[in-house]
Amino acid sequence: MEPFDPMEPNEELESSLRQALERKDAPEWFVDGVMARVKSEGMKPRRNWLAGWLGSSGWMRWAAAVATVAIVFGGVRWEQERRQRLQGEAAKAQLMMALKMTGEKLRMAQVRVQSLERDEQAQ
Amino acid sequence: MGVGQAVAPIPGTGWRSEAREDAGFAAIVRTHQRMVYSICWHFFRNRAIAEEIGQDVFLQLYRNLDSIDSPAHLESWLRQTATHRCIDNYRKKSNRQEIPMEGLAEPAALPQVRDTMLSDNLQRLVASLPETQRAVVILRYQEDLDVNEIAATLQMPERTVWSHLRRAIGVLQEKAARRLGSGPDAANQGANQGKER
Amino acid sequence: MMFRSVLLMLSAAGLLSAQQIKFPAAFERLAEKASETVNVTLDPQTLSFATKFLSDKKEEAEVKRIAQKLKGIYVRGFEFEKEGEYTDKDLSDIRSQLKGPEWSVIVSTRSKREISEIYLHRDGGLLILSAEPKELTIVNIMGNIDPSDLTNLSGQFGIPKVQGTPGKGARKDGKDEEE
Repeated sequence: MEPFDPMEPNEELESSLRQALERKDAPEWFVDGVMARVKSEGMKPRRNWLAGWLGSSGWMRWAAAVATVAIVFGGVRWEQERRQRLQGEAAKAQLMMALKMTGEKLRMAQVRVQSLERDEQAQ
Repeated sequence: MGVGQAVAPIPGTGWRSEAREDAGFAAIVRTHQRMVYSICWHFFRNRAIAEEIGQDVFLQLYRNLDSIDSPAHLESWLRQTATHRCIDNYRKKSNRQEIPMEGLAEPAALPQVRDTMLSDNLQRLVASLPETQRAVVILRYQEDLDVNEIAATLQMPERTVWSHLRRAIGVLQEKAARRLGSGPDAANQGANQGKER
Repeated sequence: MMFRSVLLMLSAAGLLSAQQIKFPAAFERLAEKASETVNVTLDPQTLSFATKFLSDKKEEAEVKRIAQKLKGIYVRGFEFEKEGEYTDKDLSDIRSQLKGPEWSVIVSTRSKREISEIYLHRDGGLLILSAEPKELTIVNIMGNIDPSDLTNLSGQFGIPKVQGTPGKGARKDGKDEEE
């Protein structure tokens, strides 16, 4: 194997790397996930506005309180669901990985058996 | 570059206020999500981690919109932030032991053909490189950056980038040959690889 | 009635634990020496959780159907920079757990540099031991997996049809057979 010379790159490997490292599509929910998190970040600047409401009297204070509670609970629920989805995707990836490795090892065993059988027949 | 459903706001006069609007920022995310997500995915080969870090990158962008000057700056900022976040994340102990697990994220694409198996194996090999070499290779071959652009992204001298690239390619060549063999059937006959060692 | 249910549950748990092998403590030492490691631990709960995330699309539906019958998947894989990092004892610590009559060898190939062994448990568990000079992999699957399941997986992961059934092992030993 010739050592890699950046001035004379191994074109075959470079081409294979470009193919292997092509950009992948992000999950369908990626943009929604970012925007949900941005919205929860965006609550911060509105805090003064909310505080103004909370400082006022009457039904508006209650409405603001209810809205705040709803937003907080909604946010917590969304975060729980997000975490659960991430854990589930990770577990699924492990399952697929394990099954692929199983397949590879079974294939190797089969190839070895066939190879030994061929050797026996040849003798 | 991914094509989004809406066009991202063009940086210029007033573009930041547009970007702060939901539709404007969503368009930016849509336009650049492939690049950011792919950097993270190729770094960790794990969909969940790539998604989480990718989202963190866009949140960081949202907080730092004031510091973005131009469309080119926006793209390079995202690329740089995604790469640094991946490296930082990997260096945290929690991810250090984690091997790239997601070989099979898309079982539909699981291949019988040599090219796809080669790609699959190369991805795994790239994801097993030391973190800086890994970042250099991803920026070189996924993002198609020149060495000087990689140096700027990773804030290191060009000579160091060359050195990382040379070492990474050497390792990849050696490991790819060991795993896949050199014959045309080598990838499909993966089981034979041990005998070729 | 309740006693009977408890007894049934205990015996089911016993059957499953019999299919699960214990990875030797020495594997932690191997992990430190390895250049690449794979450590998959999917207990019944995690496995069930993972299958919920498999879609009903063609590609994943078959995997889902089979995974639903499994009770656990445990994989330990090590790739080393140089040869001789693991020892025969590491392998014999695994094999000693497979000596009972409930385990059958269905494939055993052995040459100077490579070992492939596949064991099936009477109640459906599977164990694969694959050893090469710089690689060691152990796969332990618990639950109802049988050769037809493996055949069904073939379209998904390139898994070949396994020839031989429990008790009818395809044993192919090389020259340096130990036993």
